[in-house]
Amino acid sequence: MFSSYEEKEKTVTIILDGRPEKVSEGVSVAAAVLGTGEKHIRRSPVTGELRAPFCLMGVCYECLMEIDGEKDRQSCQVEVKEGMKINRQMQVTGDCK
Amino acid sequence: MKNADIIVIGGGATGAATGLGLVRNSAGKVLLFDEKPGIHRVSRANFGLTTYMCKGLNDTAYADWALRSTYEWAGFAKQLEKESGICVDLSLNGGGEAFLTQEEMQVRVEMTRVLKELASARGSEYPVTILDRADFSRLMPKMKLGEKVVGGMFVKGAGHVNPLFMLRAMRKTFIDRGGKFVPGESVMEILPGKSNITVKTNKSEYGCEKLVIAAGHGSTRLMGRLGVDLHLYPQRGQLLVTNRMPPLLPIPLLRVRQTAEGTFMIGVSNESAGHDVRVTVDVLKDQAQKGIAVFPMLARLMWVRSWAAVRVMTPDGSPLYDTIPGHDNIFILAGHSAISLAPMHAKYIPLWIINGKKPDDIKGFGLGRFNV
Amino acid sequence: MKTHFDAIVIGAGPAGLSCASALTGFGLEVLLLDEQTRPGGQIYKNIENVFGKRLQILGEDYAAGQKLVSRFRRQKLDYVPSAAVWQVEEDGHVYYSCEGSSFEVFGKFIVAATGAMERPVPFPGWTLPGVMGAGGASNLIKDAGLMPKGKVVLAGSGPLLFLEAVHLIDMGADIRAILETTSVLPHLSSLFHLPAAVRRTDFLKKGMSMLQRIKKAGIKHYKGITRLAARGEENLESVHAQKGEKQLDFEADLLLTHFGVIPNTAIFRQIGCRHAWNEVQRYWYPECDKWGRTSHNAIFAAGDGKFVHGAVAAALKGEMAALAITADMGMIHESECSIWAGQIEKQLARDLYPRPFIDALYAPAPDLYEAAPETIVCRCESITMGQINRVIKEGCIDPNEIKALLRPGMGACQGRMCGSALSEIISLRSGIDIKAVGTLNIRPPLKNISLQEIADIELCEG
Repeated sequence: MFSSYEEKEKTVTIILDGRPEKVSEGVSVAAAVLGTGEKHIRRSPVTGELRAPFCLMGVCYECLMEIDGEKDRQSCQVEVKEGMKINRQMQVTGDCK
Repeated sequence: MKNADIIVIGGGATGAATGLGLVRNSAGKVLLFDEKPGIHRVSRANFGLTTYMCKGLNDTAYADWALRSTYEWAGFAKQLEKESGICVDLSLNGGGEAFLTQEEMQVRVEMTRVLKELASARGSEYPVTILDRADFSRLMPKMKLGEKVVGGMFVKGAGHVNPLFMLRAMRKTFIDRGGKFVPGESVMEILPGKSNITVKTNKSEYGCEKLVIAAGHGSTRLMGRLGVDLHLYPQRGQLLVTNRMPPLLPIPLLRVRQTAEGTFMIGVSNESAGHDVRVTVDVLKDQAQKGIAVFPMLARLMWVRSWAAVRVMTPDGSPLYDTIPGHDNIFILAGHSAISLAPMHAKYIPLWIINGKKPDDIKGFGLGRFNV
Repeated sequence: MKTHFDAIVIGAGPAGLSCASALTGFGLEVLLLDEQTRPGGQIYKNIENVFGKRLQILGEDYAAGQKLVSRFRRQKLDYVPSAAVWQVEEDGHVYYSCEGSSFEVFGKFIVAATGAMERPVPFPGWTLPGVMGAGGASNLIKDAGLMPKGKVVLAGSGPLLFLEAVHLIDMGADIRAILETTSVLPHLSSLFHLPAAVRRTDFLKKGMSMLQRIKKAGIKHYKGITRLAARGEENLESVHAQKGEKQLDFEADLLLTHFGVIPNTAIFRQIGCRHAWNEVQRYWYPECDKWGRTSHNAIFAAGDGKFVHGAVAAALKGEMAALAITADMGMIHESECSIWAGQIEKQLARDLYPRPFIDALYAPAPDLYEAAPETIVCRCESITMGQINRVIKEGCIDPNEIKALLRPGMGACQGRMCGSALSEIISLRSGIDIKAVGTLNIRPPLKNISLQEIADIELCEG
């Protein structure tokens, strides 16, 4: 869905879902993940539908990811760091029943 | 002038249950007034417990009333779900409380002993067990207990419900069965009468044969205008809500429960803060600390929401069911246990309102007991 | 660690930066809290790190932010980035979370410069990966130099939609269509405001040149569209709309939407500030005087959060708030304050000439919230339009009641994405004036934090 417009000058390596990825330094985790070509970033815990970041400004809470062991972090508000462990949250807790 | 047989003022848990019971018993044309569902609605901001735990320490009639209601919950929910088509998420696996100190435990041990004695003396029961830490932990194998937990209490037959769904189901069934729901009108004046009471709102005028006031804290001003002091006072409770988790906690504790949606609710504060429904960080912090002390795994959950509500308290904690002095066709219903007591409010209170015979078991919940 | 300040400014966009800089310039002790890692807010996102070709694409309006940030960097004030404010009390206590810990601070005055957000409008399929706010895509350019791959469709209304289109054209993106919900004929009221707008020929020239570039690029451009829908299995595959009787269908990998900008009022509503309704652009905003003082004496609003006027006006509004606070603190004489204010107000007036025209021209279409029943309205809890319609029929006319019954607004975003739509839908279905419908109650936490964090927070005395 997205690709880098320019040459990545400085990069860091993050671990996305267990695999290392080289991403631009200083970008948000959400942007970094989208930049690797991924289309979705989590599953809705209610319905299991795939979701992707929508607003990229901290309002929509669609970009929630597990970052360095902490769940439900707004990945558009966190800057990538060398060695950062990022995991997609795919757990479905289901609807009320 | 719009006429009805019975007008119920207040569409919260008490009013909606009573209204529902009235239409179920063919009480004629019933109107349910609901002024404005503002944030002062405690029916929307409670813990959802259906329990008799520690109720009626000084009032055996209340102890029995609460116990009976808990036992009637299953039937009440089944009928309500069938009629409305709305699931209320009732769970009756028991309830409990965790003790973080020996002092806390001792208080409850004593309370339980007294309640059991009183119950057995009148041929009733109080099926609550005090448990040591090991036995208590077996009640919730998926939730590791914090180090400070010294023991707990198991309340047989208790449980919890989704009070918001329950409210919706009651209101829907009330409407489906011919009741008229009147939202958004404020009652400004009540003119009593022997066979015809006039109720003036900000929008219209109504007449009815019988009037039921179940407006929570709003009842104070309505009755005050008729010269009746209800002696109700506010007590604030604040709570925190977390994100969803898979099912882990099978029974609700007084302090922590997991809803059917999977969120955890934490908090059981009691504060004197007037009618201020703001949450305060110091109390929320305290509740969070205590919740984590009971279940350390809660620490990693996200705090997503909080709210506060102001309980409708009577001086002795028992409900208030009475007609007002000089007017046996004007009823007042008030109390802080409208969720737990919903089955009774839907079944027995309406019969009293319809035939005017106050059942023996609620004779003690009159207004006069406050005027000594 | 210092906890008590003369003023706490929340938000490091143009309003917050200029306010904090001005206050510090007058000698006050200031704390600037910002949720993001770098200053600039949304409009000037990442301004300190954007150069060369990227800067060229983003244009001179974006580059203008450099001066603001440089001025800010020259000041001596307490600045905490990555600080998510989760509670603001009217007596000046502010609680924020930074790197896993929460802190309590106190400001005699609070300036909430938390800006605005894109108006969230639900339509079928808007939760599909591949559907994104146009502002979001813009942020990806600013933040990470990312450009869309594949086929792009733009939909919505408002000048920012065109600005985004021009950026994408400059990056060589494959734009398949622009679908405007704005009506074909401009609203009559906009013509009434045209004379004022014409006083800013530079602004109008910019607008015209944007539209010309889009035309020159040969992009299909439709106005007056309805029934916008996104379709796909797991990701976006196609975009559909209707223009009159004609059905429009496009294959798409990315759908960028923009339906105008509305203020972030969470902090103000949480405190209980009085709000007013903008009839033209349809949003609530905190009622303020010309300085930005809300109905609560110590709480100020600055920037687009006060009223949506754009970045240049935001910076000026920040200066006005700073003046009023400084005067209130007794650190500047009233007459000096008036003189400075006079100059700023002159600049503000000039900047705002075209605004009424633009606001009227791009007023939200009246059927914006008429979406099919299966449309998800609350994204966090997946509550549909149909579910909401049903309870409104049952007599629920209060957004908080609907929230209690169905859970919209109970998810992570706290009703930011569904709140405005919910009120509009209630008004549409029940016929009740939107001003009487009300809004979702806001309570802390304004931003989610872990339970451990609130359990551990150190509170000031008293």
